[in-house]
Amino acid sequence: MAKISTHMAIGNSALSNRTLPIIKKPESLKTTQIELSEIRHLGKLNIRCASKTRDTVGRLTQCNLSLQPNQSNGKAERIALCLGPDEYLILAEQGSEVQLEKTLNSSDIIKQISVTNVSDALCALSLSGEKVRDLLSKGCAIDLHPDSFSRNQSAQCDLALANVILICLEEDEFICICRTSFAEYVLDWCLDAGFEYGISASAGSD
Amino acid sequence: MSPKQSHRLRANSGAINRQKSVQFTFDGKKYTGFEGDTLASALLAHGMHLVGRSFKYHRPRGIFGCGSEEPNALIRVIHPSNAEPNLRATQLEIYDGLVAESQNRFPSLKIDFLSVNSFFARFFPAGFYYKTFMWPASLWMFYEKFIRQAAGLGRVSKDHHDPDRYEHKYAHCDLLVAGGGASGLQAALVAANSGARVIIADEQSELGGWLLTDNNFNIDQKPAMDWASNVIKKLRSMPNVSCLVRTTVAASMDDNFILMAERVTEHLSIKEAHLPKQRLWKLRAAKVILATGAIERPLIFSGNDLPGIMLSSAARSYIFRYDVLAGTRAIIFTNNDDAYYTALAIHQAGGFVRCVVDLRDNPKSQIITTLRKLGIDVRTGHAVTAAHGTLHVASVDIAKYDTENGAPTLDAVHMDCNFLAMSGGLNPVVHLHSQRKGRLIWDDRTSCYRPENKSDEWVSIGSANGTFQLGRALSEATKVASSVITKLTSENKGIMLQETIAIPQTEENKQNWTPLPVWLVQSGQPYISDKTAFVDFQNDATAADIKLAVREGYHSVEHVKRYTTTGMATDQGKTSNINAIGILANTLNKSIAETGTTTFRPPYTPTSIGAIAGRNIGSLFAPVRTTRMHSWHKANGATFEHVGQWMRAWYYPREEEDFQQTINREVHATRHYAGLLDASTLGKIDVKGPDSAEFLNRVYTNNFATLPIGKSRYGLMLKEDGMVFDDGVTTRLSEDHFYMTTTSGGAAGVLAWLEELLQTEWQDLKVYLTSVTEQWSVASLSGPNAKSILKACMSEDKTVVDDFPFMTMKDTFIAGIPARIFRISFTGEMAFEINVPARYGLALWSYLMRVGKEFKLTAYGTEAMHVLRAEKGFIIVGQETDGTVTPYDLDMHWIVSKKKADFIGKRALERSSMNEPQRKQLVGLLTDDPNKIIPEGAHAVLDPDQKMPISMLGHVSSSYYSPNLKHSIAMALLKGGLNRKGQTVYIPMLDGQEPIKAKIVDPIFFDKQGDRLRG
Repeated sequence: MAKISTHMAIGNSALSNRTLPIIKKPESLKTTQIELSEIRHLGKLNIRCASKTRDTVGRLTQCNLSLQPNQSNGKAERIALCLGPDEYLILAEQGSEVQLEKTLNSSDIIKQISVTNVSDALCALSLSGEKVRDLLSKGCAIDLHPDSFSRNQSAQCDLALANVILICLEEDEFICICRTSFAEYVLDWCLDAGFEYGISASAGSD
Repeated sequence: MSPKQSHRLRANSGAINRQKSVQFTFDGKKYTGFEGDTLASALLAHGMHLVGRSFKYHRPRGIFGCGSEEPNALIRVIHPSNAEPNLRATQLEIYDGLVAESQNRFPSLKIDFLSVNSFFARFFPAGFYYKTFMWPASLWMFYEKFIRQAAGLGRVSKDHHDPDRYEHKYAHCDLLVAGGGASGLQAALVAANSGARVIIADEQSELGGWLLTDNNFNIDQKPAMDWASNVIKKLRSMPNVSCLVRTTVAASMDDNFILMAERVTEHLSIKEAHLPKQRLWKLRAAKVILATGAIERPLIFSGNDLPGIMLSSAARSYIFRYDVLAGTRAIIFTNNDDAYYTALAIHQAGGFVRCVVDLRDNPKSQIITTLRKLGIDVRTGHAVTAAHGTLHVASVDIAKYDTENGAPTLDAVHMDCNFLAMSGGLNPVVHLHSQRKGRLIWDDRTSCYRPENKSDEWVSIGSANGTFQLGRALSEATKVASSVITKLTSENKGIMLQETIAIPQTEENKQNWTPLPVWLVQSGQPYISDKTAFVDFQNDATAADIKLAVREGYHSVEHVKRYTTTGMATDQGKTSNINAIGILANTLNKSIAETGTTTFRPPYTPTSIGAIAGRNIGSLFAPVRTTRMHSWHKANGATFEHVGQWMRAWYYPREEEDFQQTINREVHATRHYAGLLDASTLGKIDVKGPDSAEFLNRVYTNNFATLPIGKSRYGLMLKEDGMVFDDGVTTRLSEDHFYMTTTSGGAAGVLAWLEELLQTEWQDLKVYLTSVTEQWSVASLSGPNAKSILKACMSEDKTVVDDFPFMTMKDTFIAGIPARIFRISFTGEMAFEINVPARYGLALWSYLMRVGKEFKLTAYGTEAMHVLRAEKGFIIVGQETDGTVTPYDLDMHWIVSKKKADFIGKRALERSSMNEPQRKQLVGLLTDDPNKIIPEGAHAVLDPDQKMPISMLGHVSSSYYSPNLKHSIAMALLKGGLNRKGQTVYIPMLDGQEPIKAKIVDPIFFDKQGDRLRG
């Protein structure tokens, strides 16, 4: 039997069941004020480590892990988030997570830490635009005022009825990470909540 | 042509927009009002007072107040596709095309058949229902139909369809100011200038509060409203301030969690589709200042509910704010100074003030002199003892009144009129304070309940605090806001109180704010007059009802409230509570402070269910989780079922196949050839760390410490009470890495429970848990042909499949996809659970189906899975268990380790009662009639002919038709079931059909030895 062709296998989209783009906006608006797209080209590693191994993990992953919970750093394609006192999530450029996993698995500290590839378990959505905080505030109970939730901050919270991780990249630019099984719900919720401001959801690129 | 606005004044206050007329319909008739009018003010402009019928006696009722305190003017608004009942005409802003109608009347407002109720009022005393329908108890079902018919206020749309959009919004602020009157504005300004994030919310259409009505004095040498307009303008321009109008602060809860209902488009004639009708704000405020103002009390006398009688403050608002003179021949009835200003306003607006009736003997105030100088008849020490009229007040009785003894001292004088404005003093709006269990203190000086300002989180100011005089209120607002900000400064960055804060200076008339507390004005025959002296207008509770309650032994204010229903209508007794307490106190010969008050509950005004639901409706009602193979299932005609939040393929009907035929085909194919199930929803947890084996040993009842690498083991997890909590197969991938699976619905709960154990009980264990449920897509390949199909799919070493013992795992490749294959089975057949990184899930599934075609591979859904596992007697946690079932009850003694020192639930399992022979135990049932399927949940009994109540033996947990056995099969939890095998039980049917007869058997119906499973 033939192997499965590469193009069938490689796409890691949690929204492949949906035909995108979808645009929702009031007739009175010319343009949409919120852009949503899936960030498909991200590898995701969940790392559990105590403070004594943290710096080593950071060195091996080229991430600065001296973070407080709910903080993040880095940008574009290598972002580290501190999810809890001993839990980190690293977002890395596609494919590099496999190498990072290997590096950590072959390191001396592997017995003391836990590395789990969750690239396929989590879906990352990019949300941006002037009204993005207004959109999120319809379903997210945390204080989203720029004074309270700014660049390099993240939060594990609810967005409507789904658990998400929100990362603030810029004043009006966020990453929203949810479990892939919730991706369609989160998309539909955002489209509904964004209707007021005009929202366009696109598939993103690999 | 719509009728003329006969009561509209020429004077233009500027609050309504005379340039823009608005057309609306009330009770089928067209009217014209102006932009800025409420339905109440627009109707009053046409001289219309009568707008509804009362709840119990169907008495004619008119507009009584001017805002949310309105008890009478509840109307129904008809939208193109639905209708909304019980809206207050005094708060409803009119717009072009508004269609409203009165309620609780048939056939019309003026002629209402049920008004006969008022003639029988003496048969409907307090506690009428409790007294009348007590016996015979058996007739209640008969009575109930008629009572339900008559009960309830207002009607919703017949189809219950609500086309409107409602939204939620979460918000945070340093300070919420509830109420946008003078005090609220000043407090917000002080806070805003300090840099704090401030939200000021008011239920009215504009900020300004009472200043919108009473503007006859200066603040900082400017007319009061000019001062207010400047403050509002300033606040609106500040980025740290949100000014919300048409926003009711509905509920105040612990930690300053506040609910606010904002009416976004209700007042607009064109409602844009993208904007919500209402928005429910869920606010977290660091501090709250309550500047909610005060509500005037009515006076209680016979006939005080007639249309044409209204609160003095409302009458004044209609004149000054809406340019409407509600009555032309007016009587003013008061126990304080404030109503004199209403008399003056009516006089100046061209109305005829026939008489000002003041309960006080010898009041001294400048305003009284002023009125007398204008030639207005002022009678002090007098009372209105009764009002008369049919559909409108036509005359009153005025008599010299002895307030000490509560009786007129001379015969009453009859005086005709078409309007009566009354004032019984002011009640601070303490609702939000009281909702938080804030205490209320009775203040004898102002005759009202004031909030006890003791909390660090919220504080009341201004009229809401009993500080009625404007100058004092503004000074209080300034000081309180400053002190709140000082507290916040110590907690927050970026907030700094301004060094000098000026207190606005006022020039106002001297006014005596102490009313004479007369709670009930009686005629010479109180037994008659009390019955029409209304206390709670909305629930039709009278002074007589309260006195009757006391006579019948109800002395606690809480009991009297419930017995008479005073304060229990949709207005929550805004105008009635204090009067009721006053009458109760007098009747009990107690002081009001001794009598006490009831607690106010949220919401402040009724909040629509739509706003509470928000957008969690329709397809967004609950999240739907889908697997990566979902699109294949959909394309192949699957019917879905909800399993927790998951949407799982239930069965795949082909053309002209019914449910049972489909299941039979899928089950048959899996037993005879091969079947494929999407098992991706199974919970999956990566357990890593050097102590993983010890950890699993503690959470499962059986031994995991000895599990070899590459082997799988089924485990049962208990809670501390020894009851089954979850089950699943766990595989050792390496020395310190295990892959645990859980039930689909229990995954989140299991992970949370295991995390809790690690974080609180076993901090010494070096174990990390990570959920990988969605990381892996799982296709479960099952059946006699499973091995051949897998072999055909293997991309590399095909011999892997030959040497693949039961309960082991292999890491390999299928068609180039990295795959983790487990040889485990939930069907009783030779089976492989193929796990691949989720991105390949759909590709794997499609590939397996393609390759499997020549081996007659059939996709099967969760229903066939249930039948297959039930044929084998495999349990499903949550179906065969319900939190009260032990492993012993399931006859799974083999899974409970006798050797292990401990595991969760061990101690509980050792209690003697856990081995009690009469516990409910899992058995199989075979019906006598092979085609009769027992309904799941049905109860089994030994003797179907015994007398009621029948003693139950237990219940049926699973029941299916087994196409392999050609027989209906069931599993049941029966008392002492394990020792009853061979006995006959009966399952009585709900629909009265013959009980189903069944034999108790072993729950393993098929392949008892498990030969097929092991291959």
